[in-house]
Amino acid sequence: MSSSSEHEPPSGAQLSVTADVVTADVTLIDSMLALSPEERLRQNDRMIRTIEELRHGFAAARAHDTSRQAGVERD
Amino acid sequence: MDSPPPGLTTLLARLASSGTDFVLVGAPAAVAQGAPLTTFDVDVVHRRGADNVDRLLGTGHQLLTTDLGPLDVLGAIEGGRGYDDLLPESVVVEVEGKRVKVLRLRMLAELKREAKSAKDQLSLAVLEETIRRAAEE
Repeated sequence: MSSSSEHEPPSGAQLSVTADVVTADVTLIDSMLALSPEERLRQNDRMIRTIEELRHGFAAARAHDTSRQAGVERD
Repeated sequence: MDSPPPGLTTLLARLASSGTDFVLVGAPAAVAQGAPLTTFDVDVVHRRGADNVDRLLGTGHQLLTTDLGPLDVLGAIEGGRGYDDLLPESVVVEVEGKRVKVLRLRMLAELKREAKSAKDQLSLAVLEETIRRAAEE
């Protein structure tokens, strides 16, 4: 049987300890270092646009699910 | 070839072309130097002085919304470090033909070491690895 603490989110202290053993993706770093500073910043711009598109897509899917659920409940 | 759509890169270049003295700090400074992070705004520390942006913005922290993205204008960062303190710790990079002063990765990592949040510690791991890989090049 597990204790209740196993199901609780880690405290800030535990997260810090976890961060100590985090390793960065070296392949990603090397590909970034191969670019010029301007190209790196443009890469960030593209990433922002992708994240915004995903957020928009998730919001639209959620709205679609909610309206479909409401339709089912009416039937 | 199509030109890329305007974004934070263009915002930074336009700020540089305005003649305002500033040092790029935070995640965008790390990105410009090769750290694979994602940032949603441009963070700058501006030079305080009557002829600079103080007259427009005051000396405190201002978060401005622009049509190119958020611009975070700071009078100082951790430890009260202002423009004059950060300038010797900066390097110059070129963005859209404009010279932009960027806080060095080593200084960015030092600031992250002083911060204690889990998010900062995660960013620190990326910064330290980027410094190591850049030194090996």
